[in-house]
Amino acid sequence: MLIISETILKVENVDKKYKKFSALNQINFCIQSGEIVGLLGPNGAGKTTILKIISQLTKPSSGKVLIIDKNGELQDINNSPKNLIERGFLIDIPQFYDTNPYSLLKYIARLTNYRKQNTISRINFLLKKFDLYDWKYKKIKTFSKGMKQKLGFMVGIIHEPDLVILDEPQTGLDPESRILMRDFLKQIQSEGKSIIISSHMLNEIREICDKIVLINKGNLIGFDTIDNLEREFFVKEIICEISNPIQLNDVSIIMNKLEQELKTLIINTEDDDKNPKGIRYDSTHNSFIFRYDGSMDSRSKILNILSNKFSSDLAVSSFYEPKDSQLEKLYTQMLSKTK
Amino acid sequence: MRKNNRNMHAKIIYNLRKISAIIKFEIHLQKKKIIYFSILAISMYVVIVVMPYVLIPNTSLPPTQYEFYQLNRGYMSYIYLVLLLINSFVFSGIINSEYTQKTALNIFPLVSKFKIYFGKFIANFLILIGIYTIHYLVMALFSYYFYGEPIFYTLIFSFGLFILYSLVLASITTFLSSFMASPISVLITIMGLILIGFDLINLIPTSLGLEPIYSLSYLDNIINYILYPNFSSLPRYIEYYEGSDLLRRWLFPSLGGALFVLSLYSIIFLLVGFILFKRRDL
Repeated sequence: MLIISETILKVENVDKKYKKFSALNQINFCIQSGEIVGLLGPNGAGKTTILKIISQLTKPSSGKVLIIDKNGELQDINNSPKNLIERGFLIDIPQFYDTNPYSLLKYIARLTNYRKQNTISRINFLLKKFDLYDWKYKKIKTFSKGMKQKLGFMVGIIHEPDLVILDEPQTGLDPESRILMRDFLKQIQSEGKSIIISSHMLNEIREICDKIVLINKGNLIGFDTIDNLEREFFVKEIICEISNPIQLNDVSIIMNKLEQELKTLIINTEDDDKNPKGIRYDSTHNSFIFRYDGSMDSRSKILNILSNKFSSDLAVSSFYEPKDSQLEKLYTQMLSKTK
Repeated sequence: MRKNNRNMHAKIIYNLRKISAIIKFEIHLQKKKIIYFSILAISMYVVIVVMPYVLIPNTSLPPTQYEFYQLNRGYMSYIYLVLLLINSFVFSGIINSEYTQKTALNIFPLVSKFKIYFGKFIANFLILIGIYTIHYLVMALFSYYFYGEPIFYTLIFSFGLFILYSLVLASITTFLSSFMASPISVLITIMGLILIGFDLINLIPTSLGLEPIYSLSYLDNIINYILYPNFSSLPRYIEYYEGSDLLRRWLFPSLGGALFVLSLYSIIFLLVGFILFKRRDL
């Protein structure tokens, strides 16, 4: 069992060049044990290249990738490492040998020296968990894309690795399977395993990741917890739903008053589509949206002011953070800053 | 010291287990090929060699088993060609198919490239030996059927040398497969070498009168000549005059020379192939 908060993967100043094209520039981040880190970025950003470097499928042009060994020491994976912790991989769209899931998983278990006496029960457990048990002895080439994706995931985790590296594992999965995979990832995280996962599905990332690494055009744009990044990029918002009807004529008056009262708490930046004003009114949902610094203190102050000074104008029915849309905003805003 | 030995011992067993898992799985994957190619080798043999004696009247058998064997696998005979082509088919996709089909992503880096390369090579070579053994057994059985006398022990030597020769061909094919893009391109190249390339190389030293010990088509001749019990006393070349020049035509290499060169080729091509494979990115 690994010690909590131990760094188990460290990416140090990694560059990758293909002739004149620079795929990665000075990438730095690390993963602690028991952490799930999401790798985000648009197509061609360099996500798969990073994962391939971590998976030793390709070497960096410069820089190091360090992974902890079974004695707790970090070792450069490209410098004849010994006794590294067990790792599992799902890189790229999975393609399989012309065989059945049982033979394939048994083969992978053998290659990873997984306990022989547990192999069969582990295979059966995973096949049942991901609804492929009835396909145990069927040819993989007859499988649908989603089934192959699930099998690829099983190949990555059959040997209960300490570090799981997943490249868009939810591609082609139906919602039920996505939930299944998400729950399973949380379960293995609770067992102290670490996971690095690349995905375009921001909701999934928001649900399961402790931190995100955002890259664009081979450059690291941000690496932190989602909360911290949202604060850093001023996309923390709070929605205040109002139960009493507001006349359109009154909106601008209330807005002015709100801006006046909350001016120290609200963050106003340049007014454009991606980064709108600090206070907005959403007439469809009869709610006000405030952009603030994300701290608990500011949040309670805003609520206090609304309750005390606007009690005659606004009857606040709920007060919450729009989680999903914030990550989307964070994503687009971080990318736009690098363009 | 004792602890170090124990660790070393455990490590060797650990690595051997992985290689044996690769061999078993590869044989499991190729079982259809084993069946198809064995049937092909046997049926080609029966149709081309055996059937004429049975079906065509007045077709006489060669006087001895030696000649019968020679005729069966004389250089560039159809049967021999089929066996070599089976070799090419088995090995042409051994490495690059892992790249073209992206199956390598299932196993790297769970297992080192060294183990994959040699594990797959050993597995496929075992398959080849299996197919060739079936072919030789069938040949021996028919020989017994036609001549009614014990099988000559020299057939085993011939078989051993044929296996070594196949090892060289397998190494060359694996070497090509380790850097060429697709199995088809490897297959075309190796077939070109078998059909034309090796003979072209043979022409150069022949004109100089030197023993073409490095030529695969020359080395191949020993597989036939070793069938004779008096192999060691057979003349290895013949001399003749062309005008006033005394020329020498080499018939077959010495056993030691053939074993050395064939082994050397196998090792060189396998190792160079491995180095190229190791440098290849997925």
